[in-house]
Amino acid sequence: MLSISNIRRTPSLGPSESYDCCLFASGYEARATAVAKEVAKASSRKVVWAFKDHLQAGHRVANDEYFRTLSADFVSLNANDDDAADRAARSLLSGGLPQSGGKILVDISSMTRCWYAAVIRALMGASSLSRLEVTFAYMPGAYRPPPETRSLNEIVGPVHGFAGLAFPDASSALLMGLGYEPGRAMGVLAEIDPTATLCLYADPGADERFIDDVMKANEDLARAVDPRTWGKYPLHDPFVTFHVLDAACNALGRQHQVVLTSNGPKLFGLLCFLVATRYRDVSVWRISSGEAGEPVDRASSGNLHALTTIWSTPMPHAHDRWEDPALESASEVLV
Amino acid sequence: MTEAKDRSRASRAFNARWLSPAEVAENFVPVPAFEELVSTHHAVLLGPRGSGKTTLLKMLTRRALNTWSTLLEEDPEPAANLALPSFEAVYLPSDVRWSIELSALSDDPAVGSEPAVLLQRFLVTASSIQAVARTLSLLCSKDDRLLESEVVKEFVVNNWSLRAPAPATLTQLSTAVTVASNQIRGVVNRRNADDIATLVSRLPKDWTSGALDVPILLCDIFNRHAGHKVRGERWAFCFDELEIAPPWLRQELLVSLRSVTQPYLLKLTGTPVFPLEALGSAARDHDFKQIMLWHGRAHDARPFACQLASRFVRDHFGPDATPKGIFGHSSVHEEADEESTSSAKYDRDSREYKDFVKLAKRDDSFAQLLHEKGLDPSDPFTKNTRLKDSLLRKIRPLVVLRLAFLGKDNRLRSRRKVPELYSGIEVLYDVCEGNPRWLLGLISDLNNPCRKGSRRSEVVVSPQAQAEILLSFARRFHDELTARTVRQSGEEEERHRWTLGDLVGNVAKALSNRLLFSPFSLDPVGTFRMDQGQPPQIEKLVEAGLDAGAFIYVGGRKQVTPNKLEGSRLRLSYRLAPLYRLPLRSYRDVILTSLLEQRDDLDLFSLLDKDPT
Repeated sequence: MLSISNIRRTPSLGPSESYDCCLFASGYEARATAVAKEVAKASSRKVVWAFKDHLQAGHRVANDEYFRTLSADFVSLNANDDDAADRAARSLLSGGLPQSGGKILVDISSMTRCWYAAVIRALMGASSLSRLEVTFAYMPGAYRPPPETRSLNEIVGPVHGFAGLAFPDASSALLMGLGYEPGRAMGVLAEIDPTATLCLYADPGADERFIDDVMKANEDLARAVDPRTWGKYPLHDPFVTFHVLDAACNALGRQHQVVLTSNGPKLFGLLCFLVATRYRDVSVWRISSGEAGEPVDRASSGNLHALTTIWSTPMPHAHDRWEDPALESASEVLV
Repeated sequence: MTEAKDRSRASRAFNARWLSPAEVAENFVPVPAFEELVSTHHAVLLGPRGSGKTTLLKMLTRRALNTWSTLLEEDPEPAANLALPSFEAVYLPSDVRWSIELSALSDDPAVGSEPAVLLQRFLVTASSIQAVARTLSLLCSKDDRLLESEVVKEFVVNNWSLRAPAPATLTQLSTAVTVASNQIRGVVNRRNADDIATLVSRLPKDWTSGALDVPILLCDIFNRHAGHKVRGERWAFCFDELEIAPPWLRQELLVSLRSVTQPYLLKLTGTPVFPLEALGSAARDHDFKQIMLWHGRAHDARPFACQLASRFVRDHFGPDATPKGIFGHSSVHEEADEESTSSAKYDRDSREYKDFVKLAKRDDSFAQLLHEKGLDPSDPFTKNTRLKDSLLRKIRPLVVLRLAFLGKDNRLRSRRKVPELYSGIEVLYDVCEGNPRWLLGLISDLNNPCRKGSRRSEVVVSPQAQAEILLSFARRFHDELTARTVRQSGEEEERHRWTLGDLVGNVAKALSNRLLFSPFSLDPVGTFRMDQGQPPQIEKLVEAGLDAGAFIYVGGRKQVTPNKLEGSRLRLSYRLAPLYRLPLRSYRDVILTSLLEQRDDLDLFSLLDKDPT
């Protein structure tokens, strides 16, 4: 079993980096290959999780072709099949990695939440490894406007494997990453009826227009929640955002059962999962319309963001010694 | 302090779920429902969110009653005759997060449906043990360590023999239960089917059988050791929020209304949409009391609202302050028993008379109605008391509504100002529908524009400020309804993609349209009846609306929950009235289909006012 023992700022993925394995996703988005083009040469083993559907949509054919030129191993997966993703993620970690000191890169840019959640579950359950360095990379999509119509919220609840299941003795605190789909954040709020709420949105984000869209999509939330509980996080610096989330979970968790949910960029969703691994009963929830949307191509914004996490067998009382990033200047928090 | 800050604080402060029993008791206002609840019968308490169900359940507990007794010693006046329970209540908490996370176990293929139910049963039992342990700890005084240890020891030996080291106190029992639950969470979240199967096979069998088995057993053990300490030598298990419990738990508890006998009672809460078919052979009024916490006639909730508001206002504005003094009377909504003959209302100098003349000049259908009733539209004065009561009082709210929203050309006015018809203490009470959380939250919102220091006899929150806050209060409610999660089913292409806010909005606009633009009637349409053949998606939305308090069952004074939605008469919550230009009156009904079909009429709103909501 592994847990996060350390995280490291990763401002760029330079040519000097090398990985024992790189995991990518191939779908119809143009950005699916953007990270691979930066780092593929740094790894001898490449694995591609390929969507089972929309085989001809968008850039899918070209993406598959590119990954084949890298001699990648293809694993075909459904977008929301947790079990298959779990098997694929366990297989990734069980084959060919050194027992200690291995390094992998996971590009979440075109992955579904189900897929990168599976990677994190596999990391938590990895029994054959004692230490692994995992760099998560994310290429934001270029701006596209939000959906014009509001859709019914039909599915709300914990992501499989991330249910806190704490007894209903304490009130709930909701920590939300805001997105630009109208009504999503308000839907979680209305469902959980938390006693404490923290709303975070990316500013600076991938594009200034996203910020206006987020404000507009969450006008209902602004009427319901104290504006002083709204905060910003820098999309380009997941290291800081991780610590913001971690500090919030730590503080809120003393009195409440914390629920994390992300309706914004995937990177924030990833950070929710990473932070949740550090607390016993923090939940990660999702909310959606349950409708399968039409394929929408996402070009790359050109600004790659990454965070390196060190996973090792747990040390007693490890998380008590995490430091506030504001107080340290080193790029690595020692535990 | 900003308005939003107040709003946020209000929301936290008035949700009884997170108040301790002592805090609940400190703010408790007795209601008739409490007297029914304290009877030594099983009871099912039904009401929408925020209607006070949790408050009533918590008030049954020893800790709350102790606080209440202390308060009564200081001030016996408020409820000296309050009936008190003759049973020991165990409050079994629930909340949406916990319920949804439990239910989600069944959706996880790595867990599987049968193991999921066993895990849910274990966790529900574990939570129940903690609740019973909390109650028992109140019954065991500091000198009763031996009693406590004997009870726990007997329980562990008989029901949790695998546990080592064995807990010896109630606190240790609770801790051990938490640790076991944590272990379960760890295994479940790893999603390894083999590990989950092994875990399930090792769960204590008694803990995964009936939901009431283990809590009853623990109480039985206590009864054998110290039954005399138990109030009335009876126990009541108070399960909150049955509607969000896993289906097996809901079914078991409902069936238990018939099978569980003295000295054990069940006090359950649920939403107005009560799953009667799940009751099996249990019969209302015979096997259990059914207690409703909503009011088809909003007037009926005024006495409770007045008591609650009076206390709040006294606490915030001083001992002489009264809700009427601060918010004033409504100019429209007369007291139900008010006799028109006793006032100068409807005389030629009165505002009412002038309004009638004004509308009669603009609205031919209104002038025609007055004419038909023997009144001169240009001078609608009468000394006939019966005519005043049967006609003038009745039509006044609609007259005011039309004058407020229609211009001289009988077209909608633009909404620059919220009409002051939505102001006054009676309106405040009615829009809150007897919902304590709404009422206290709203009065908190109104706290801001209050001109402190004004003479107490004067209205200190202006009608205009009240109307604007009521509009904002309605809008926030509509936001919640729109965002509410409603799980639909059926084929994608057959679905209505409406949110609950869409349905509420379409019903409200259709009603408002009729009230404003149809020929003036003594008996206009203001409610609807669920007719046959509504798509399941619409039924789901209506059920969600009843749960949220957006729709209210309308019946006689003594209401019963309808057996089914179909055929039920419903009205919109008055909280939505300022947003949709509706009066605080119910009026006669039409079938829902006729409201939803008249979509063309709704264009009037979009043409004349781009922002009806």
